[in-house]
Amino acid sequence: MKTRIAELRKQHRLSQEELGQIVGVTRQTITSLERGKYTASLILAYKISSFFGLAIEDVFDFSEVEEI
Amino acid sequence: MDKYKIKVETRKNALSLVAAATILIYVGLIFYRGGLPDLPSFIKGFHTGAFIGVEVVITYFLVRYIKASKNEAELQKQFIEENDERSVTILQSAGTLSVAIILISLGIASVIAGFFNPMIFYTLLTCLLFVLIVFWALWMYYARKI
Repeated sequence: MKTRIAELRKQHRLSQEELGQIVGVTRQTITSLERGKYTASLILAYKISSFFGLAIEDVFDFSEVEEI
Repeated sequence: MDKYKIKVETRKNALSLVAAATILIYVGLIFYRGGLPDLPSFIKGFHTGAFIGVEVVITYFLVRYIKASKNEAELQKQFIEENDERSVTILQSAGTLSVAIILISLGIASVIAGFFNPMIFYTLLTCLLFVLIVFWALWMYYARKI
């Protein structure tokens, strides 16, 4: 899933390690999220979006999610 | 973080007990060796290696937990490492695939062993049944829990 995490993180002048500590995950998880290799859980998506003061859909791109 | 701190303390105590019990069992077995069947040296070596391995692993985790209980930053680092959702997902994916591979391999090996040696066949079949029963029991447990 595509996200705006890298862009928002850089705007806030944070390292991946720092953002990971804030939302309670490892640096590797932030890397995977930024590269679109891993899809965050609802709770993590909420934590990240809340930290940036945005709605979940403003940080995570749901356009490629297949509808049933 | 307070709950995790308590968890770490409990783990420290439990690991200390297991480490002490392991040493006692091993020392007991050394003294009682005369009453045991004479084992091939490879098996004796394996036993010694297993006991040392357990102690090394326990010591590693004990050191980690002692470090965490003395340092708040280390405690938070360990909490994040332990609860990282990507790591949990990786573990779940690896675990699921491992069980499938183990079950299929044991099934194939049991069939092949059946042609050559009944003892190996029954041993492998027992292992296969054991893995199946454990898998089924855990499946039922989580199906009710989640």
